[in-house]
Amino acid sequence: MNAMNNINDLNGMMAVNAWPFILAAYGAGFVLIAGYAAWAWHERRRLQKILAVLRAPSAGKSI
Amino acid sequence: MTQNTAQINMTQNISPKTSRNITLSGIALWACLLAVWGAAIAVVPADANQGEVYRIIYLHVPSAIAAFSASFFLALAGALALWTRDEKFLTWQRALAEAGLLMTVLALVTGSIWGKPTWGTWWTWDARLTTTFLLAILLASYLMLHSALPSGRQRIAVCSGLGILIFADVPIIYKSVTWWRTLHQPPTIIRSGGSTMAPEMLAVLIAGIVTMVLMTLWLAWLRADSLELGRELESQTGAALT
Amino acid sequence: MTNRSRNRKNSLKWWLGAAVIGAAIVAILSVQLGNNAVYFYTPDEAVAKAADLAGKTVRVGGMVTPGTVVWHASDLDLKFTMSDLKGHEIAVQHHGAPPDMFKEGQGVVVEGMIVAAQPLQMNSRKLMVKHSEEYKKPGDHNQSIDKALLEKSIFKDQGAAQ
Repeated sequence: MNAMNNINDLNGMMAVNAWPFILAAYGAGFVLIAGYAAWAWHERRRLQKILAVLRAPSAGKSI
Repeated sequence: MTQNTAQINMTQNISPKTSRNITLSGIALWACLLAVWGAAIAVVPADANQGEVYRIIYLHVPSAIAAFSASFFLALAGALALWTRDEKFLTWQRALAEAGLLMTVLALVTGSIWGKPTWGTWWTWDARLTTTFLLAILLASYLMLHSALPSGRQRIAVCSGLGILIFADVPIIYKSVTWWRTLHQPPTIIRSGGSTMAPEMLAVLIAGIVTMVLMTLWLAWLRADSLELGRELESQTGAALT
Repeated sequence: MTNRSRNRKNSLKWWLGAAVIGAAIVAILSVQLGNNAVYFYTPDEAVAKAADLAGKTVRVGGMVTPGTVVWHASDLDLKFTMSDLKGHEIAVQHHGAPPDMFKEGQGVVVEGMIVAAQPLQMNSRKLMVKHSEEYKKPGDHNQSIDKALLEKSIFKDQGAAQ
């Protein structure tokens, strides 16, 4: 963090730019939640397709 | 709908309605979540003490509470599994543990990002942060055990027992800032004398909490559905496909 | 994967899972109960235990006394006094820019070493701000109980730490 020029000027408001932190936090939230949801969704689709193949009437009885 | 899809759905007793419900509720929840985040970033006022950076609270607190709720439902699924001896509750346990771990990690990460510009540190081992970190470790251990144990009575007993035990950490995490001296501040919402948050801020925070808890349950639902498909495949083919 | 190799893999995960739980609990307990039985001492407690704490890294929490902050930006030297608002004061010396929320009257937790007993002096290794749980719109100062909340939180069970 940058050294402040005069600490006595500080009145409690943020001197450092808050927005990189805010965006990092919400970015992390989006990546984690959307990423997990997307992975779970695709995993489900994958299994549905495999089951569809197994259940198809034309599939052989032996696996 | 193709013939194959109809057959899959019949076989698992999972109706096409479930797929549609998962999709629709997912869309609704994502819309709510993005609305809350939009309000958090652009609509609610800045804080008199912290300025803009406090906006992280609208993600940090909801994810923490969502993690607690996932742990609660995990314990509930544990109790049900022990009571009914039904393995399907193990599927829900796994799904809830995954979602719970996700939310716990998110709470820790957003808390750390918030802590650096405010407290002046990314991390400290005070009681609140330590017990939350412990929750993440416990949930991760649960997942490892769940995948390591072969299906059967032992797995039901061990996993359900651990799932119930994990929830014991949650009230400790919540009360940690009251019972011990911590760097982390005391509770904002539920406290004697009423909340110490401006009403317009509190409204968005509560909306965020409700949305995140529902989102966590939705993630668990999505995942449990997938895991059930895996179990169905396993029983049909004898091969582990998950 | 053969059944036997899968069982070996699963067995490993079993032990790994159990080991992680055990290690985590041990590590966390030993960190918590390590040097300090409390996360931070209050100034009166630090004064009372100054002899015991000499040479050890400790944390002391207090409020920054107005009028005592001296900051030299050129060499990043910060000096201030913190107190428990009841007459127990600690002079703190810190190298580096403090957190943005640091100011007169703010809550702080100083991690460092006590270098003198009377009057009590600390060399800070890590300076942290402890803020309250109050969130208000700018301009709502007339309803602010920020200071009261901070006092309550920092000086909780004051004097209890042995």
